[in-house]
Amino acid sequence: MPEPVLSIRDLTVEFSTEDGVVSAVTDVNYDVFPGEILGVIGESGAGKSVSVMTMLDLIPKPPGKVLSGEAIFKGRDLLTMSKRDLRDVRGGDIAMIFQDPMTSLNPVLTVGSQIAEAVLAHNRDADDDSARDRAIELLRLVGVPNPEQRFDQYPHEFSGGMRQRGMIAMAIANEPSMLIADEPTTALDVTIQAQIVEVLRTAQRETHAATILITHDLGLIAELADRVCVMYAGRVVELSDVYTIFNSPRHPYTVGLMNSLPRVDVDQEMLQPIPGQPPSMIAPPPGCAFHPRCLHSRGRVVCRTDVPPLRTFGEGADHLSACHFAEELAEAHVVGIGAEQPA
Amino acid sequence: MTDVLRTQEDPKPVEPERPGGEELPDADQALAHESGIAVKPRSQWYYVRTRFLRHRLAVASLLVLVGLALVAIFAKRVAPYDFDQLDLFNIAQPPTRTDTHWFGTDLLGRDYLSRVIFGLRTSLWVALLVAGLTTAIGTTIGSIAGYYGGTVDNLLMRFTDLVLTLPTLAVLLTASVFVGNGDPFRVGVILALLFWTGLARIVRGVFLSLREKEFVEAAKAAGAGDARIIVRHLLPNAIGPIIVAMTLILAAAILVEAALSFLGFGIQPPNPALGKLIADGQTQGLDSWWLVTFPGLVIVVIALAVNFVGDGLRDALDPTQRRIRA
Amino acid sequence: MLTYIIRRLLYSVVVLLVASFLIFTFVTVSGDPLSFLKMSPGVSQETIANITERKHLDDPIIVRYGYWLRDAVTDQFGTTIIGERKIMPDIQRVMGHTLQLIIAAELLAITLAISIGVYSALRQYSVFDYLATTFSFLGLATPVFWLALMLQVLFVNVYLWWDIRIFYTANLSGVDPGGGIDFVLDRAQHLALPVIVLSIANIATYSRYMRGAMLEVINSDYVRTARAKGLKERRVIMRHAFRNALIPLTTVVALNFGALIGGVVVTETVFALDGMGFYFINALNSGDPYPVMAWLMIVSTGVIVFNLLADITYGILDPRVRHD
Repeated sequence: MPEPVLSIRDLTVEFSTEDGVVSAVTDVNYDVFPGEILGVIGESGAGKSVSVMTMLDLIPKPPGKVLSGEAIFKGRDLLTMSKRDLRDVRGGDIAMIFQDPMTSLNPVLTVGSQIAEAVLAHNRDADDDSARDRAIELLRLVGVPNPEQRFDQYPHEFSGGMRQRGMIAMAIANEPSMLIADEPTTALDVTIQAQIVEVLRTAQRETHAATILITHDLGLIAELADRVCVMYAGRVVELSDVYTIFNSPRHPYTVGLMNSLPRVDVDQEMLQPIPGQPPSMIAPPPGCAFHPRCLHSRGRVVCRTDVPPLRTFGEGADHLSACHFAEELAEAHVVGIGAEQPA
Repeated sequence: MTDVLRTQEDPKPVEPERPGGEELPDADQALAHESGIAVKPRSQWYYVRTRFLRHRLAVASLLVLVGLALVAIFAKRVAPYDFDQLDLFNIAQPPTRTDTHWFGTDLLGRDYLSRVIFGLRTSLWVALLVAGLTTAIGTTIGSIAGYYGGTVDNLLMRFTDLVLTLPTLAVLLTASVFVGNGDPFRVGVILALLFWTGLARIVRGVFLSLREKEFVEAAKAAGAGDARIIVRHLLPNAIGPIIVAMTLILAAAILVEAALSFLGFGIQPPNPALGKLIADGQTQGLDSWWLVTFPGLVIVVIALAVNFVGDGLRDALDPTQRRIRA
Repeated sequence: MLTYIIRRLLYSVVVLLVASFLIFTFVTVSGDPLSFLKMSPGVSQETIANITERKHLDDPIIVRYGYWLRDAVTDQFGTTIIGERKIMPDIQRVMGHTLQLIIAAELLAITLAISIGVYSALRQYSVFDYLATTFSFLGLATPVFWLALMLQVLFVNVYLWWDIRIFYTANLSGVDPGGGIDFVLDRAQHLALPVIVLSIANIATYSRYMRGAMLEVINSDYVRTARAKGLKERRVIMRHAFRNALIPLTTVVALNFGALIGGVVVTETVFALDGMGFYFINALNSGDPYPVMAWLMIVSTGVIVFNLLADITYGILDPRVRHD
């Protein structure tokens, strides 16, 4: 097995708010390997973005606070790195694509100058002209027509899809070895989404960057991801390759996610939503945070008392689940997939 | 509207005792599912009250305001002397505890504490009058403009634009000279006639954003008339912003009325007013520092307290707009 | 950009015309310009009839407005009722003093407020931030005239007790200030207190807005993008945050001009500065509507010019306005 590019270990992050302390991310562990796309999926507030924002020091502190953990990127811990070193990593070796291209570009600066700025920040020998040329080349690469003219236009003169292309151009400006795409298509029209997915694919092919794809869109995961990390209430609850996650999920939450997804390969009577609401992150349920909504727990005490660790359970070292009863899920019914209705 | 304003006591949520057994019977499944995600039913005003009470400075300010209001209401009993009572043996006394001349006396030996209390009474009454009138005018016009839109709305917006470009104090001065007569009621009306535009804009904004909403359609479908829709369905949604705007108007009214009276064009004798007291204090010589200081301090305290209360109300009524706690 | 400016300019002219009509009607309807004269003894019926004839007081309002507008444009706003002084030369003289006061006060207020606001936002919830907040609440709750008097009380009493003169508390045209550096020093001593008084409330207002705008901007997505690019924090703040945060402030400063004039009236009255405000109060006291109308008209023009400048600044700072 190759060395991971990034290893996040035991990361715990809190936010103090007026209503109490929010445990945004608790004991999160995952690896990202060279060249792969790791999909991170979960409901809003599950801590998907916080884990990556934290390692680039992009969460506001306060109210945010890292309680423990490390993020080893190419052998160095990003969380203890000096501000200057981390600045070199940001936008250089690790680049981010954000969710909303409407608000993620500065409205009073031209799109081109914002891309050129990324080039200039990481290349000592670049001057304004060469940065401009590079930016135009990048715009062309991500499929922006007439890049020379577009360079001097402001964000409000770009459509949503074009802006997101600009964001992607900015992200790949310095050929990062790692790309983080935080809900890159969520804010876009469905037709534009497909185009952006293509651009993302191109970008990844060009840079060979290991990619973390944060989304709540299972379709996007199925289309792009190699491996999947499922998060719930600030914890990783299941981790495996994309086929395993879709075909034999071993955490009741993942099972629930799959059941809520329309499928063409199975004959479905109706979609099954996960009952209830995501838990309060200020006072999460004791034990397994998912137990109040879990169809599998059936009120078992251990679910309410003990936090299940993320572990292997005899289906190979690559499949991890944080359910006390992962084995049961394996042997018996994958609850309710397809037409199987409770009697 | 009254049922919206009434704060409800929150009912205690029923926490079912669950047996510590291994498995719950199926019937309890539903409850078990909800245990981690239960939401206690509470009225909106419960939250408003809680958030306001958390703002300690605002609560303290409210108490100060209530105190001052009580003093103003019962001025005749609270004030140690009458407003114009002369004490020629104690002329131009600095603050002293003898004869309860706590704020000293002026050149005619009138007790300054009493003068300030009666001045406070007038100033508070004018400010309340302005706030009330402004709210009535602004809400009415804002509602009509926001609900019907069109020409009314257009005229209103052009007019508010124009008022915004006017030098307010100068216009008020001109109006006071010609029609004010130094009478508190008239001065209040003049102020209100220039102050209502901001509030009308706020109400209009709320109405514009809501008038296409489904609940308005539903009310129309149920046969409700325009007046009913405005009063029962739309106005309650604007109460938060209206209350906050009212506090700001109250503070502005106190300050502007004081400035008018100070310049000699606002409230004039025989009506006592804080601004006029300061002006008289100035003419009696700046070495009698207390004559200028005390009425001014009272104005500052009122304006400060009103602003803090407004701040607390804004936090309480609109939690999405977080502001710093002073 | 040019069409944008031209369009704003045309709009301003229209607003000015409407304002002139409103001012004239408002002042004219408010009171009889001759009531002062009619009440004073020793003024003959003949004089009053003369004035009525000369000022066309028997004509309908719209006609009188026409005469007045003609005088305003072609004849320096005409003359006063009593004494028949030309109005404009007097106003021009006092305007110079007031401009010195306003420019100094606004420069002070804007620079201080921007610094305070930015620093407060960058150090949110720090001791400085709390102090700045407390100051601005106090600044907004303190009547300008009272602050002016309190400073006078303070300095006068210091002068009386210790014979130390720090600032002059009144009078701008009483003594000949001399020239060159003496002039500057004299003006600084005379204007220091009025400028401080006039700027306090504006520092409070502007710094609040600046802090709010800056906070909003530094928590915005595009500043996060700038950080994620690996820019130096200095550059993130200066290039991506500061400029954007200035945009709302231009509107606030422009809209505040009316309030500033109110402050000028009060400040000049307290310090007996021979400026626009002082002139206005005297005109009001004289009961003569013509200087009052001229004054209101000039100040309204100032307000509109200020708004126009703010709109242009806004257009320069924000490309979204420029292009629509």
